[in-house]
Amino acid sequence: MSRFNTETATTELRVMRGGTEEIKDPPRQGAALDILVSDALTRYWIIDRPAGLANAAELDLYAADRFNTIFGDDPAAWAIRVDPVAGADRWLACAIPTLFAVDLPRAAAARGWRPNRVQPHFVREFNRHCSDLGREAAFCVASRDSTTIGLIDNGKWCGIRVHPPLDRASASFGTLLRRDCRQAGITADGLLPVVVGSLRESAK
Amino acid sequence: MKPLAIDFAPQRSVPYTLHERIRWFAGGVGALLVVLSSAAWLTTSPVEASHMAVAAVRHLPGAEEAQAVDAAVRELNLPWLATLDALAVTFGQDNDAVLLGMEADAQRAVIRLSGAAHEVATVQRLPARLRAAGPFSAATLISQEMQEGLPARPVRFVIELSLRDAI
Repeated sequence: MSRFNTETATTELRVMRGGTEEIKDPPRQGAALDILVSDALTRYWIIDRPAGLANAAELDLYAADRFNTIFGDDPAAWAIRVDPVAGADRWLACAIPTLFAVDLPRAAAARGWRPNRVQPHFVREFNRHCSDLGREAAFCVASRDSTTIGLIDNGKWCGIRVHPPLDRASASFGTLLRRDCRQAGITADGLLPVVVGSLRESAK
Repeated sequence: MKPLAIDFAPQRSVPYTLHERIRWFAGGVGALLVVLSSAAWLTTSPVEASHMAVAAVRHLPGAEEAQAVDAAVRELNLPWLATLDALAVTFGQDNDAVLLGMEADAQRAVIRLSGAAHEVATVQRLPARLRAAGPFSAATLISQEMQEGLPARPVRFVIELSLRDAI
């Protein structure tokens, strides 16, 4: 299911777990369209910065290889992006099906839209709130589609996982956070999570 | 934390709408004008720039104005510093002669000196001393006379100097 939000200057098309609705006509030719992909449809992982990469193409190959190793899917059917922060030991990587990264923007452009951004939900929310986060942080996007918890330790990404939505999860948010921290090798004590999204109240 | 540089949107090579194309074109033209005007400003010397600035109000000088300017330039072109050095050397050494007056004729590149000395022999040596000391092509003793009422330096003289680098 997709939802149009035309109240802002840039129209937003949400791609949810249920699928995508037909794209509407733009209010004017070339109107900007942001495509927001649910985290339930997104793969996140963290890669250790490889040594000796010569160019971006080698990084893409390396990220695709890690994607295949972790998730077992064919990377050819996915669009993969890495955030290669200079000087960081670990980089956040994510992938969405090419259906949403290539075909959907192409279809929108054919209807007269101008695809502006195509981002997963967690990425967009993180970019909105990253200035509020410290070097030790747990950032969570609690939506009706999924619950994504990203863990940052000493300014470095150390874990990110996508869980079922909180209103349908078998465990509480605190339990999920403690599990993820344990998995990432950090302690959840004293960690004040920043939770955003439509189900953020369920995290309290 | 810094924002994530992750976006799956296809890269746009050119703006889609005509309005945006016009904006890009106008921006490009503006940037080009800035670059060209900066280059012109950097390659134009301050002297040329000042000439360019007053070019609109420039007018040709009249004959009298031109002559006055020429005379001033001639006078400025005389070797004043070397002349003053030579006079300081000649009249400041033994204090046997003093310089009372100096008159320059820039048109003829001639300087006329008037002074006073202890004795006639001193005055006779002055032209040679001046020729050796300064940029003078000639130093000629024009006149000398005894003044009765001046016991300290009774000999008055006039010497004419021709400047070597005359116009």
